[in-house]
Amino acid sequence: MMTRAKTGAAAAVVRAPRGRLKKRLKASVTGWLFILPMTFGICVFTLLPIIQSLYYSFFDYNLVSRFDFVGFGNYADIFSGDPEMGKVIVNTLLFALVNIPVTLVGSYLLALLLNVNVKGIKVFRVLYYLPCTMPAIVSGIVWSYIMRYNVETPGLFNQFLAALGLPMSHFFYADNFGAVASIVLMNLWSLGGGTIIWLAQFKNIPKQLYEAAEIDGASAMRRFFSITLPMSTPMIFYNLITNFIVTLQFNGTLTFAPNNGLGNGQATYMFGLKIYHEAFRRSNMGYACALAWVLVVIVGLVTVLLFKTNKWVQYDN
Amino acid sequence: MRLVFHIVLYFFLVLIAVILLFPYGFMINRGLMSNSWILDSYMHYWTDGLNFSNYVQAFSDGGYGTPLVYSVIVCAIVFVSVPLSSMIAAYAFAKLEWIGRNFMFAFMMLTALLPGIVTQVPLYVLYNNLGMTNTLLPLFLPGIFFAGAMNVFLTRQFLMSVPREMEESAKLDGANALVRCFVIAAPMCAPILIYLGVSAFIASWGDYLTPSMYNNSVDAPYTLAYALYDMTGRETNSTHPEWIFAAATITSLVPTILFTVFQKYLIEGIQTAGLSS
Repeated sequence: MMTRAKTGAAAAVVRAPRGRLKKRLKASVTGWLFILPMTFGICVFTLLPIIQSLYYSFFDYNLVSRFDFVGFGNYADIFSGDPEMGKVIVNTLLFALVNIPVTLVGSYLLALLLNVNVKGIKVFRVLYYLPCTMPAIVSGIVWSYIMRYNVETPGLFNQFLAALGLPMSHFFYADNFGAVASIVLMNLWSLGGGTIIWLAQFKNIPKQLYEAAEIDGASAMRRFFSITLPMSTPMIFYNLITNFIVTLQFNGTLTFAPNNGLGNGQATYMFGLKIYHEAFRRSNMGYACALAWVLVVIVGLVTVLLFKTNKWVQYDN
Repeated sequence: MRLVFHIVLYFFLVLIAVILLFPYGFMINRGLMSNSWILDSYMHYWTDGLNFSNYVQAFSDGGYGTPLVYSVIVCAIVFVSVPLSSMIAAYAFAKLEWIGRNFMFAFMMLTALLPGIVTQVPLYVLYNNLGMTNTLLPLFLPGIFFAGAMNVFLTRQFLMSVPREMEESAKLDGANALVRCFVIAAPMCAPILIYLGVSAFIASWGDYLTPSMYNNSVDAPYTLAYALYDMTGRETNSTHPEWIFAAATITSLVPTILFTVFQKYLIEGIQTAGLSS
């Protein structure tokens, strides 16, 4: 009797976890069935392409007839041998160095303006965002007319300059750094996109901080530099990184710059466009993959560098 | 003093709004111009009349009609498939217990780190091998399975804040996971699902780049954004620029209206996406 009771209890003890395991496994089947489409999607459209891309980058591959192993040949070409790379790197760096600060500071100032508490401010928040709803291809077309350089039929900006008695500008059609500067100028019209995120950050700043500052008699200027700006640093940091990644991949010049986006004298030829051009215009698939991996390494290095020097970012707890 | 401040403030608010909206107005004006006015050697800002017939001609003779239909088809598919695929994956991460869940979640989030430009070439090779270039499939196929780590992540966050009670009682009533996901949980996630659907619609609507990679035949079906990209180089550009601007106006109005109507969901979505990173 005693023994039977004992074994029965022991069996129950053993059965309980086995039952739980069975239940867990059964539940896991449901979980995996749910996650199956995503797993398939990631494998086919992300994971496999990543591996293939790395593999192709060691080949001279033109999609049709050539598939020759070249070792690090493509990578060597990028750093020495490709005569276009010098121009591409200078243009990309210049664009990043001017565009990122202008975009960040500009949208931040705009957000400060839109953060005031007056009647109808919500309408202005929407109005300022509307230029961003214009698809890139449309704004490319529109801006190529606005910035058109043609002595007989000058674009709007050149009509404006002429009316002021100033010399006409080539804008996108310039064969020097003026072309990149024109892109930065055009980007000012999409500053409203960044303000949305800044406004959210402002909303997250505790009201008590401002109330306390007001009691202490701090001026509006002082409140901005001691509260608003320091409290925005996490978002500034995030925007800096994402802006950098987007800027390096930028190939939007396709929609407005002459010569398929390359610009006159390759003045708007940048890294993102270079990859697009090598892959889809010249069918240098292997070389395009190598370029993409160089971009990944650069993005990775700069991100690490930014994280190592982020002492100025104030994370609140 | 306060009044002066308000006057100055509103002056600047209006001034900046006018400056920011002037390209939009330029486009609308040019879409309404008569052919002779738009081809005038002086580039006018204001139209000479309201030639709405440009719209009819652009979408018939101008060749933008068929692309418009294709755009609507592609955007309708992503509008449904992106929230759907994100919801299924997010539900598994937020509400189901299964072995390997944390690993798969980390694995998914890792894919967000790599710039999309890396997969461009192999994806082209894949679509080319499967005979999908010169079709509309590459524009929506990936989103049916996986619409991006950020979208799944946002939906999961939303799901985790949804109260458990209704689901628990549905579970006791014997409702299976699929029913709980779509009948109980999905309606409560409406704000985030609307955000995903509308922003996927807007992104596909304006995407000229993806078709430009996968289209290399003139007979291939293409979308409105690609038609604008492609036709700016064609003959109609020099003879009927007003048709381009009429088509461009329609191409812009759709996302503008969608944004204005769904601004509450879109702004909230963009803000949570930004803050949660």
